[in-house]
Amino acid sequence: MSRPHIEPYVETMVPFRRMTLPGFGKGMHYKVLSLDSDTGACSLVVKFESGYSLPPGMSYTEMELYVIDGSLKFGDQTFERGHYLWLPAGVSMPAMSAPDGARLMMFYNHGEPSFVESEEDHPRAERHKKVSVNALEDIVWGPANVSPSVAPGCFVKVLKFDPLTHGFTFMYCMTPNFWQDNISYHDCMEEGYHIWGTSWMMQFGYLPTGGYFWRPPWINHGAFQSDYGCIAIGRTDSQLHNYFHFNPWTTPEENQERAAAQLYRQKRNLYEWVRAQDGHNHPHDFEHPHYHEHVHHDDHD
Amino acid sequence: MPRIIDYEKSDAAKEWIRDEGAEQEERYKQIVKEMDDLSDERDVWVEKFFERIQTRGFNVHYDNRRAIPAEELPKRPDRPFKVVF
Repeated sequence: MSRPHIEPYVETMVPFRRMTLPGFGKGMHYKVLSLDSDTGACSLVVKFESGYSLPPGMSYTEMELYVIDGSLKFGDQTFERGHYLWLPAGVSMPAMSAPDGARLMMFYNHGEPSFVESEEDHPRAERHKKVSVNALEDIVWGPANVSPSVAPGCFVKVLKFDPLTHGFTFMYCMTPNFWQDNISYHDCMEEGYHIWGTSWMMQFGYLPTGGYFWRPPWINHGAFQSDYGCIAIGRTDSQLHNYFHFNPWTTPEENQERAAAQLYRQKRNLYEWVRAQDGHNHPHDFEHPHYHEHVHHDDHD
Repeated sequence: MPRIIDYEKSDAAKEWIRDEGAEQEERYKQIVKEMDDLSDERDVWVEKFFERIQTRGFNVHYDNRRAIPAEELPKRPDRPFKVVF
Protein backbone atom coordinates (compact mmCIF):
# COMPACT_ATOMS: atom_id res chain seq x y z
CA MET A 1 0.00 0.00 0.00
CA SER A 2 1.46 3.32 -0.99
CA ARG A 3 -0.31 6.44 0.18
CA PRO A 4 1.01 9.82 1.29
CA HIS A 5 1.24 10.83 4.92
CA ILE A 6 -2.24 12.18 5.67
CA GLU A 7 -2.18 13.46 9.26
CA PRO A 8 -4.20 15.01 10.67
CA TYR A 9 -7.33 15.22 8.52
CA VAL A 10 -10.77 16.00 9.95
CA GLU A 11 -13.53 14.96 7.59
CA THR A 12 -16.55 16.36 9.43
CA MET A 13 -16.47 19.76 7.69
CA VAL A 14 -16.06 18.24 4.22
CA PRO A 15 -19.22 17.50 2.19
CA PHE A 16 -20.08 14.01 1.00
CA ARG A 17 -19.76 13.30 -2.71
CA ARG A 18 -22.07 11.11 -4.77
CA MET A 19 -20.51 7.76 -5.70
CA THR A 20 -20.30 7.49 -9.48
CA LEU A 21 -18.26 4.33 -9.87
CA PRO A 22 -20.04 1.57 -11.82
CA GLY A 23 -22.21 -0.88 -9.92
CA PHE A 24 -23.08 1.15 -6.83
CA GLY A 25 -26.29 2.74 -8.15
CA LYS A 26 -27.85 5.85 -6.61
CA GLY A 27 -27.92 6.75 -2.94
CA MET A 28 -24.29 6.13 -1.94
CA HIS A 29 -22.13 9.09 -0.91
CA TYR A 30 -18.51 9.11 0.24
CA LYS A 31 -15.51 11.06 1.45
CA VAL A 32 -12.01 9.85 0.65
CA LEU A 33 -9.81 9.76 3.73
CA SER A 34 -6.76 8.39 1.91
CA LEU A 35 -6.06 6.85 -1.46
CA ASP A 36 -3.35 4.89 -3.20
CA SER A 37 -3.31 6.75 -6.50
CA ASP A 38 -1.64 3.82 -8.27
CA THR A 39 -4.15 1.13 -7.40
CA GLY A 40 -7.22 3.06 -6.20
CA ALA A 41 -7.11 1.33 -2.80
CA CYS A 42 -8.74 3.71 -0.37
CA SER A 43 -10.31 4.38 3.01
CA LEU A 44 -13.71 6.03 2.89
CA VAL A 45 -16.41 7.41 5.12
CA VAL A 46 -19.64 6.39 3.40
CA LYS A 47 -23.25 7.46 3.76
CA PHE A 48 -26.11 5.35 2.44
CA GLU A 49 -29.38 7.22 1.95
CA SER A 50 -32.51 5.75 3.50
CA GLY A 51 -33.71 2.99 1.20
CA TYR A 52 -30.37 2.47 -0.53
CA SER A 53 -30.00 -1.07 -1.78
CA LEU A 54 -27.71 -3.31 -3.79
CA PRO A 55 -28.34 -6.70 -5.36
CA PRO A 56 -26.22 -9.71 -4.37
CA GLY A 57 -22.65 -9.08 -5.40
CA MET A 58 -18.92 -9.02 -4.72
CA SER A 59 -15.88 -6.76 -4.70
CA TYR A 60 -12.75 -7.50 -6.73
CA THR A 61 -10.59 -6.45 -3.80
CA GLU A 62 -10.76 -7.48 -0.17
CA MET A 63 -12.88 -5.00 1.69
CA GLU A 64 -13.53 -3.99 5.30
CA LEU A 65 -16.61 -2.29 6.65
CA TYR A 66 -17.51 -0.77 10.03
CA VAL A 67 -21.00 0.58 10.79
CA ILE A 68 -20.69 3.95 12.55
CA ASP A 69 -24.40 4.79 12.65
CA GLY A 70 -27.61 3.23 11.38
CA SER A 71 -27.92 -0.35 10.20
CA LEU A 72 -27.53 -2.53 7.11
CA LYS A 73 -29.47 -5.61 6.09
CA PHE A 74 -27.63 -8.35 4.21
CA GLY A 75 -30.23 -10.98 3.34
CA ASP A 76 -31.73 -12.02 6.68
CA GLN A 77 -28.84 -10.56 8.74
CA THR A 78 -28.81 -7.05 10.21
CA PHE A 79 -25.57 -5.24 10.90
CA GLU A 80 -26.15 -2.68 13.65
CA ARG A 81 -23.88 0.12 14.86
CA GLY A 82 -20.44 -1.26 15.64
CA HIS A 83 -20.63 -4.17 13.20
CA TYR A 84 -17.34 -5.03 11.51
CA LEU A 85 -17.03 -7.09 8.33
CA TRP A 86 -13.84 -8.26 6.62
CA LEU A 87 -14.71 -9.63 3.22
CA PRO A 88 -12.10 -11.47 1.17
CA ALA A 89 -11.91 -10.61 -2.52
CA GLY A 90 -14.62 -12.22 -4.63
CA VAL A 91 -16.92 -13.33 -1.79
CA SER A 92 -20.54 -12.70 -2.76
CA MET A 93 -22.81 -11.04 -0.21
CA PRO A 94 -26.62 -11.29 -0.25
CA ALA A 95 -28.78 -8.35 -1.35
CA MET A 96 -28.08 -5.34 0.87
CA SER A 97 -30.33 -2.53 2.01
CA ALA A 98 -30.19 0.39 4.42
CA PRO A 99 -33.89 1.03 5.19
CA ASP A 100 -33.16 3.95 7.53
CA GLY A 101 -29.79 4.95 6.11
CA ALA A 102 -26.33 4.28 7.52
CA ARG A 103 -22.89 5.82 7.91
CA LEU A 104 -19.86 3.57 7.67
CA MET A 105 -16.14 3.26 7.25
CA MET A 106 -15.21 1.27 4.15
CA PHE A 107 -11.70 0.12 3.32
CA TYR A 108 -10.93 -1.18 -0.19
CA ASN A 109 -7.48 -2.60 0.38
CA HIS A 110 -5.97 -3.37 -3.02
CA GLY A 111 -8.06 -1.61 -5.68
CA GLU A 112 -10.70 1.06 -6.13
CA PRO A 113 -14.23 0.45 -4.83
CA SER A 114 -15.87 -2.15 -7.05
CA PHE A 115 -19.18 -3.94 -7.01
CA VAL A 116 -20.14 -6.72 -9.40
CA GLU A 117 -23.57 -8.32 -9.31
CA SER A 118 -23.20 -12.01 -8.53
CA GLU A 119 -25.08 -14.56 -6.46
CA GLU A 120 -22.02 -16.80 -6.36
CA ASP A 121 -18.50 -16.43 -5.09
CA HIS A 122 -15.69 -15.93 -7.57
CA PRO A 123 -13.83 -19.26 -8.03
CA ARG A 124 -10.77 -17.82 -6.23
CA ALA A 125 -12.71 -16.38 -3.30
CA GLU A 126 -11.77 -17.57 0.20
CA ARG A 127 -15.10 -17.40 1.98
CA HIS A 128 -13.83 -19.27 5.05
CA LYS A 129 -11.68 -16.24 5.91
CA LYS A 130 -14.61 -13.84 6.22
CA VAL A 131 -14.85 -12.03 9.58
CA SER A 132 -18.19 -10.68 10.76
CA VAL A 133 -18.57 -9.44 14.34
CA ASN A 134 -20.22 -6.69 16.33
CA ALA A 135 -17.22 -4.88 17.75
CA LEU A 136 -19.18 -3.04 20.41
CA GLU A 137 -21.12 -6.00 21.81
CA ASP A 138 -19.15 -9.17 21.04
CA ILE A 139 -15.58 -8.22 22.02
CA VAL A 140 -14.31 -6.84 25.33
CA TRP A 141 -11.68 -4.14 25.75
CA GLY A 142 -8.27 -5.44 26.75
CA PRO A 143 -4.79 -4.01 27.24
CA ALA A 144 -2.62 -3.69 24.15
CA ASN A 145 -0.72 -6.96 23.96
CA VAL A 146 2.61 -5.55 22.76
CA SER A 147 5.95 -4.82 24.41
CA PRO A 148 6.94 -2.13 24.93
CA SER A 149 3.35 -1.17 25.55
CA VAL A 150 1.23 1.94 25.49
CA ALA A 151 0.48 3.45 28.89
CA PRO A 152 -2.34 2.29 31.18
CA GLY A 153 -5.67 3.65 30.00
CA CYS A 154 -5.35 2.75 26.32
CA PHE A 155 -7.40 -0.36 25.51
CA VAL A 156 -7.81 -2.41 22.36
CA LYS A 157 -10.28 -4.77 20.66
CA VAL A 158 -8.77 -6.82 17.85
CA LEU A 159 -11.30 -7.14 15.02
CA LYS A 160 -9.18 -8.98 12.47
CA PHE A 161 -5.66 -10.36 12.70
CA ASP A 162 -3.62 -11.52 9.70
CA PRO A 163 -1.56 -14.53 10.82
CA LEU A 164 0.89 -14.08 7.93
CA THR A 165 1.81 -10.41 8.36
CA HIS A 166 0.51 -9.80 11.90
CA GLY A 167 -1.20 -6.74 10.47
CA PHE A 168 -4.50 -6.13 12.23
CA THR A 169 -7.65 -4.07 12.34
CA PHE A 170 -8.63 -2.95 15.80
CA MET A 171 -10.63 -0.57 17.88
CA TYR A 172 -8.78 1.45 20.47
CA CYS A 173 -9.91 3.78 23.18
CA MET A 174 -8.28 6.17 25.59
CA THR A 175 -9.84 6.64 29.00
CA PRO A 176 -10.48 10.19 30.29
CA ASN A 177 -7.26 11.83 31.50
CA PHE A 178 -5.10 9.43 29.50
CA TRP A 179 -1.50 10.49 28.98
CA GLN A 180 1.61 8.85 27.66
CA ASP A 181 4.86 10.77 27.72
CA ASN A 182 6.97 9.25 24.99
CA ILE A 183 7.37 9.58 21.23
CA SER A 184 6.59 6.49 19.19
CA TYR A 185 7.13 5.29 15.66
CA HIS A 186 6.53 1.97 13.95
CA ASP A 187 8.03 -0.07 11.12
CA CYS A 188 4.52 -0.55 9.72
CA MET A 189 1.84 1.70 8.31
CA GLU A 190 -0.73 2.81 10.85
CA GLU A 191 -4.18 4.26 10.18
CA GLY A 192 -6.77 5.62 12.59
CA TYR A 193 -10.18 7.28 12.60
CA HIS A 194 -11.84 8.84 15.63
CA ILE A 195 -15.39 7.56 15.90
CA TRP A 196 -15.88 9.71 19.00
CA GLY A 197 -13.80 11.95 21.22
CA THR A 198 -10.59 13.93 21.05
CA SER A 199 -6.96 13.00 21.55
CA TRP A 200 -3.81 15.08 21.31
CA MET A 201 -0.37 14.38 19.92
CA MET A 202 2.63 16.65 20.33
CA GLN A 203 3.30 16.80 16.57
CA PHE A 204 -0.22 17.20 15.21
CA GLY A 205 -2.28 18.81 17.95
CA TYR A 206 -5.87 17.84 18.66
CA LEU A 207 -7.66 15.08 16.73
CA PRO A 208 -11.43 15.36 17.30
CA THR A 209 -14.39 13.18 16.33
CA GLY A 210 -14.04 12.53 12.60
CA GLY A 211 -10.26 12.97 12.81
CA TYR A 212 -8.16 10.66 10.67
CA PHE A 213 -4.58 9.73 9.92
CA TRP A 214 -2.74 7.51 7.44
CA ARG A 215 0.80 7.34 8.70
CA PRO A 216 3.59 5.59 6.75
CA PRO A 217 6.35 3.81 8.72
CA TRP A 218 9.04 5.60 10.75
CA ILE A 219 7.11 8.82 11.51
CA ASN A 220 7.22 10.25 15.02
CA HIS A 221 3.95 10.61 16.90
CA GLY A 222 3.40 11.37 20.58
CA ALA A 223 3.46 12.34 23.39
CA PHE A 224 -0.25 11.54 23.77
CA GLN A 225 -3.12 12.87 25.84
CA SER A 226 -6.89 12.67 25.96
CA ASP A 227 -8.81 14.82 28.47
CA TYR A 228 -12.24 13.22 28.08
CA GLY A 229 -11.39 9.99 26.24
CA CYS A 230 -11.89 8.79 22.70
CA ILE A 231 -12.86 5.69 20.73
CA ALA A 232 -11.34 4.93 17.34
CA ILE A 233 -10.77 2.29 14.68
CA GLY A 234 -7.23 1.55 13.54
CA ARG A 235 -5.33 -0.66 11.13
CA THR A 236 -1.76 -1.71 10.43
CA ASP A 237 -0.28 -3.56 7.44
CA SER A 238 2.12 -5.68 9.52
CA GLN A 239 3.16 -6.28 13.12
CA LEU A 240 2.98 -3.17 15.27
CA HIS A 241 6.08 -2.57 17.36
CA ASN A 242 6.44 0.56 19.48
CA TYR A 243 9.83 2.21 19.08
CA PHE A 244 9.71 4.70 21.98
CA HIS A 245 12.12 7.60 22.47
CA PHE A 246 12.13 11.25 23.52
CA ASN A 247 13.79 13.12 20.67
CA PRO A 248 11.08 15.10 18.83
CA TRP A 249 13.40 16.15 16.01
CA THR A 250 14.49 12.83 14.52
CA THR A 251 13.76 12.13 10.85
CA PRO A 252 12.14 8.98 9.41
CA GLU A 253 15.58 7.97 8.10
CA GLU A 254 17.15 8.28 11.55
CA ASN A 255 14.25 6.35 13.06
CA GLN A 256 14.68 3.60 10.49
CA GLU A 257 18.40 3.29 11.25
CA ARG A 258 17.65 3.14 14.98
CA ALA A 259 15.06 0.40 14.40
CA ALA A 260 17.63 -1.63 12.47
CA ALA A 261 20.13 -1.15 15.29
CA GLN A 262 17.53 -2.45 17.74
CA LEU A 263 16.83 -5.41 15.48
CA TYR A 264 20.56 -6.19 15.48
CA ARG A 265 20.58 -6.18 19.29
CA GLN A 266 17.33 -8.03 19.83
CA LYS A 267 17.26 -10.57 16.94
CA ARG A 268 20.93 -10.75 16.06
CA ASN A 269 20.93 -14.24 14.53
CA LEU A 270 18.04 -13.44 12.23
CA TYR A 271 19.51 -10.04 11.32
CA GLU A 272 22.85 -11.52 10.35
CA TRP A 273 21.26 -14.29 8.29
CA VAL A 274 19.04 -11.87 6.35
CA ARG A 275 21.84 -9.42 5.58
CA ALA A 276 24.13 -12.12 4.17
CA GLN A 277 26.97 -10.51 2.24
CA ASP A 278 26.55 -12.77 -0.79
CA GLY A 279 22.87 -11.86 -1.15
CA HIS A 280 21.65 -15.47 -1.37
CA ASN A 281 19.60 -15.74 1.79
CA HIS A 282 16.04 -15.48 0.56
CA PRO A 283 13.12 -15.77 2.97
CA HIS A 284 11.17 -18.98 2.45
CA ASP A 285 8.28 -20.13 4.62
CA PHE A 286 7.67 -23.88 4.43
CA GLU A 287 4.12 -23.31 5.66
CA HIS A 288 3.41 -20.65 3.03
CA PRO A 289 5.83 -21.36 0.19
CA HIS A 290 4.04 -19.14 -2.32
CA TYR A 291 3.89 -16.02 -0.17
CA HIS A 292 6.35 -13.51 -1.65
CA GLU A 293 8.34 -16.46 -2.96
CA HIS A 294 9.79 -14.39 -5.76
CA VAL A 295 11.04 -11.54 -3.64
CA HIS A 296 14.73 -11.06 -4.32
CA HIS A 297 16.72 -8.38 -2.60
CA ASP A 298 19.17 -7.41 -5.28
CA ASP A 299 20.40 -4.42 -3.34
CA HIS A 300 22.37 -6.42 -0.78
CA ASP A 301 25.78 -4.97 -0.22
CA MET B 1 -4.21 -15.79 -0.97
CA PRO B 2 -5.96 -13.55 -3.52
CA ARG B 3 -6.26 -10.14 -1.91
CA ILE B 4 -7.55 -8.93 -5.24
CA ILE B 5 -9.24 -10.76 -8.13
CA ASP B 6 -7.70 -10.01 -11.53
CA TYR B 7 -9.85 -7.60 -13.51
CA GLU B 8 -9.48 -4.77 -15.98
CA LYS B 9 -10.01 -1.27 -14.63
CA SER B 10 -12.79 0.61 -16.40
CA ASP B 11 -12.21 4.08 -17.84
CA ALA B 12 -14.58 5.39 -15.16
CA ALA B 13 -12.43 3.80 -12.46
CA LYS B 14 -9.22 5.24 -13.92
CA GLU B 15 -10.80 8.70 -14.06
CA TRP B 16 -12.06 8.37 -10.47
CA ILE B 17 -8.62 7.42 -9.21
CA ARG B 18 -7.02 10.29 -11.14
CA ASP B 19 -9.50 12.86 -9.83
CA GLU B 20 -9.39 11.68 -6.23
CA GLY B 21 -5.61 11.45 -6.37
CA ALA B 22 -5.40 15.07 -7.53
CA GLU B 23 -7.66 16.15 -4.66
CA GLN B 24 -5.53 14.21 -2.21
CA GLU B 25 -2.43 16.09 -3.39
CA GLU B 26 -4.18 19.36 -2.56
CA ARG B 27 -5.30 17.97 0.80
CA TYR B 28 -1.72 16.95 1.57
CA LYS B 29 -0.43 20.45 0.80
CA GLN B 30 -3.09 21.94 3.06
CA ILE B 31 -2.11 19.59 5.90
CA VAL B 32 1.56 20.53 5.52
CA LYS B 33 0.63 24.23 5.70
CA GLU B 34 -1.57 23.72 8.76
CA MET B 35 1.19 21.79 10.51
CA ASP B 36 3.74 24.50 9.64
CA ASP B 37 1.35 27.08 11.10
CA LEU B 38 1.35 25.10 14.34
CA SER B 39 5.14 25.39 14.76
CA ASP B 40 5.26 27.99 17.56
CA GLU B 41 2.62 26.17 19.60
CA ARG B 42 4.41 22.86 19.01
CA ASP B 43 7.68 24.30 20.33
CA VAL B 44 5.90 25.10 23.60
CA TRP B 45 4.47 21.57 23.71
CA VAL B 46 7.98 20.17 23.29
CA GLU B 47 9.30 22.29 26.17
CA LYS B 48 6.48 21.07 28.41
CA PHE B 49 7.15 17.47 27.32
CA PHE B 50 10.80 17.85 28.32
CA GLU B 51 9.71 19.21 31.71
CA ARG B 52 7.36 16.29 32.30
CA ILE B 53 9.82 13.54 31.35
CA GLN B 54 12.37 15.04 33.76
CA THR B 55 9.86 15.05 36.62
CA ARG B 56 6.92 12.67 36.14
CA GLY B 57 9.00 10.47 33.86
CA PHE B 58 9.30 9.07 30.34
CA ASN B 59 6.98 6.12 29.57
CA VAL B 60 9.34 3.19 28.96
CA HIS B 61 6.72 0.42 28.96
CA TYR B 62 3.10 0.47 30.19
CA ASP B 63 3.37 1.98 33.71
CA ASN B 64 7.18 1.80 33.88
CA ARG B 65 8.60 5.32 33.80
CA ARG B 66 12.08 6.79 34.02
CA ALA B 67 12.98 10.37 34.92
CA ILE B 68 15.28 11.69 32.21
CA PRO B 69 18.34 13.67 33.45
CA ALA B 70 18.74 17.08 31.83
CA GLU B 71 22.03 16.03 30.21
CA GLU B 72 20.22 13.28 28.26
CA LEU B 73 17.78 15.67 26.60
CA PRO B 74 18.40 16.04 22.86
CA LYS B 75 19.65 19.27 21.31
CA ARG B 76 17.52 20.75 18.57
CA PRO B 77 19.28 20.22 15.22
CA ASP B 78 19.84 23.03 12.76
CA ARG B 79 17.17 22.02 10.27
CA PRO B 80 13.42 22.58 9.87
CA PHE B 81 11.22 20.70 12.34
CA LYS B 82 9.03 18.65 9.99
CA VAL B 83 6.19 16.47 11.25
CA VAL B 84 4.53 15.56 7.94
CA PHE B 85 6.57 13.54 5.44
